[in-house]
Amino acid sequence: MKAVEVVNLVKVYGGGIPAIDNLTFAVEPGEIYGLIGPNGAGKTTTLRIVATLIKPTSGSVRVLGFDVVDQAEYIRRMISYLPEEAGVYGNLTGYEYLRFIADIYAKSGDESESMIEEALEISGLGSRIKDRVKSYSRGMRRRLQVARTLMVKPKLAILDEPTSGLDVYHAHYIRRCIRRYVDEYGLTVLISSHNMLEIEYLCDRILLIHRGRSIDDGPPRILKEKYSSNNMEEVFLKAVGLT
Amino acid sequence: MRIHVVLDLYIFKVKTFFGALRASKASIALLLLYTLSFLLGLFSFSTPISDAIRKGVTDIDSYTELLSSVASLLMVFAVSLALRGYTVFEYEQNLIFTSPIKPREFLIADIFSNLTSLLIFANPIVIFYVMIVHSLKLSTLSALLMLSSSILFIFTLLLLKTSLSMIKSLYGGNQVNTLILAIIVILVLPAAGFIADLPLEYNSLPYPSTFLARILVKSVYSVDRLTLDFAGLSFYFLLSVLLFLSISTKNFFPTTTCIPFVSPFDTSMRMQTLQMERNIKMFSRIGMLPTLNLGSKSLLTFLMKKEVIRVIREGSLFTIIFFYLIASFIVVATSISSSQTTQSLPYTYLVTFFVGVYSLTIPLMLVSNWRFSDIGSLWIPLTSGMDLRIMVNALLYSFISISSVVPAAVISILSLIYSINPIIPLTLAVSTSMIGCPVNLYIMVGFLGMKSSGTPSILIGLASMLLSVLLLTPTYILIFLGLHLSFGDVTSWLLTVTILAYSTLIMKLFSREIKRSISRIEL
Repeated sequence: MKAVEVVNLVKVYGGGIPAIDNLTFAVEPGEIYGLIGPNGAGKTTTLRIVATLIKPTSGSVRVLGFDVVDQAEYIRRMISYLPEEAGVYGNLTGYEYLRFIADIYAKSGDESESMIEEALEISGLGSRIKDRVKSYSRGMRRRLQVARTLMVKPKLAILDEPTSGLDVYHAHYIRRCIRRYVDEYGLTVLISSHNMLEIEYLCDRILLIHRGRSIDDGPPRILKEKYSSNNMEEVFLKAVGLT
Repeated sequence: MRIHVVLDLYIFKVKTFFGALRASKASIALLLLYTLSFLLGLFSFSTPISDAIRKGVTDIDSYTELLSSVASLLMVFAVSLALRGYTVFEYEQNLIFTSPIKPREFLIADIFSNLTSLLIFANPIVIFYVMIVHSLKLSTLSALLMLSSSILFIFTLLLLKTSLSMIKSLYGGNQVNTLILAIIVILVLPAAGFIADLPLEYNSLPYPSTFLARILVKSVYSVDRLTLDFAGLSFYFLLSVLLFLSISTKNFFPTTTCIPFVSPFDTSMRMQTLQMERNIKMFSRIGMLPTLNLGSKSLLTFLMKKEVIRVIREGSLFTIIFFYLIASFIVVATSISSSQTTQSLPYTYLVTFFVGVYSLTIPLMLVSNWRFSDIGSLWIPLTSGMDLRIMVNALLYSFISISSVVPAAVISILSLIYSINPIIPLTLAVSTSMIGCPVNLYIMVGFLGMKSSGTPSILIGLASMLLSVLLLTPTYILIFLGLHLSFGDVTSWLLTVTILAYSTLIMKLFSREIKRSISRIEL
């Protein structure tokens, strides 16, 4: 069974312009699968459909065997979603925020405590966790969000630009955390990023999207060979015919 | 259904909604001010009611009719909210709708958090209820009946609003709109009896609002025979529960509409700017007609034009026009149905309208919208080295022009129709703009400069309105004298000159203070 299976996905918004145009791809369990493409390529729309937040216009999307439209409730028990612009309400403390999430996902008090401990470790917020989120820097907020996404150990983590706004040190640290969670807990990760270095470092396979359509997919090493490129940036530019 | 999840979600929502209150002492102080200002009004309102009841004025039918119409209006408001579909905050979509929380768990937490917010905002009414119970020495049974029926009614409203919003989100389409509009029309129709001599009254209709009104009035008068009314209200409550139960299991999460505000206490600029962008989109066709002429010789004129264009594009001007069209309609409708002469009634109504509503709300809306749309680009004039007096004057003159022109046009048209002297209403409209705009801008700039930018607009607005009322008192007194002493033309003109001179003085004073404060804003 595939972790994510997208077949002939189409999403058309109000204006009639297709955000996703006949997209097909599949993600294996335990894999980190990256979506890369320019702004407006349809990455976020794809992730939001997989996260059951919006319905596809046509086509089929299955997550761990369940349909995103008819069986959304089952899917939500197994996923954790991190949006690109994840608002954390500023007047709650980081701890209150994590406690709330842990209580939703955990089946017992002990599990809830353990989740919060893990989140504290991932976020690296230390004593600042008791402060209001309003007082956090952008990077701290992002680390809090990544922590809450991973601490519940979902079967599928859907990460939209997980290291957006983070400095080199913390971005590297978060990437290591994601990798560790995949290795230790067998998570599947569906990730989108503009950071080609990040994609190359993290992903087992990559899907190149342009104007809502799939251009190519495969492991980064194979794609680099195929397009005779030194890095993923060149791969992408060659794949969409911009060089 | 997991009760602990509902409870967690409820607490989270309430904390999120009222977060700013915990964070800012100014917000708490202003909320107290809000309660006190309403309490004063309600106290003055409760005393004559209590006196009338003690003296044995027992016009139960009229009281029931009036109360029922008010309750029906509340229902109309709740039902009309369903036309937008089910609206949620951005964090709810991203965080809660992708979690294992079930739709019904979310909905129940939402209803209870709405109830909590309602009770906190309506706290003066709760205190008013205690005042009435205490001053009339009502029995415990009557007091409990009033309380329980009110709670039952509020729950009915919330359940109905929730269910209809879900139906709209899930099924959309014109049929749902027609259903909601039909409910609104049915609820409003008997109110037509107030403005026209029609055989329509709430008293004879089995509306939930009528049952509530009957219970409240009969409880106050210690009249028996409440069982039927209570049963009627309970029937509607059960009906709304059944409707809610039948629809609350459906997966409505992907069909919700995201709204930018987290709460009225939310001051997130990104969220408020999003709302502004939506308005601009809505009004863009008309708003794009006037354009800025960069060749303008005067910087003041250029900046004024820029503000006017912004007000048109963000939709504020249309809100003002819409506001006045409604008011004019009410004035005309009232004058047609009234037994009084057509010459005196519109005049009085217009004046009451300006004093009661216009003078306080329009400048507040203009200044609040300026804050949300322009705060992000305020660095341009502040770092440009331009004379900030020109910028402040441009803001003030454009606000005053916009908030004066529309009422002036309406007053002129109504004056022609009813052959009334427009001098005093026009004076009042101009004076309220000249005082209201600088006062609102001064308070807003003051809060931004004091690093209290976390203070919610709604509470800043309250402070502005109170100061405006205080400074407008001389205007109100002079206008009142002008109306009731029926001055001749010369005296009326003298009155106008006095009011305008006073308004100019206040405007100049505040304009000077705004110039000082605006340079203190740290961006």
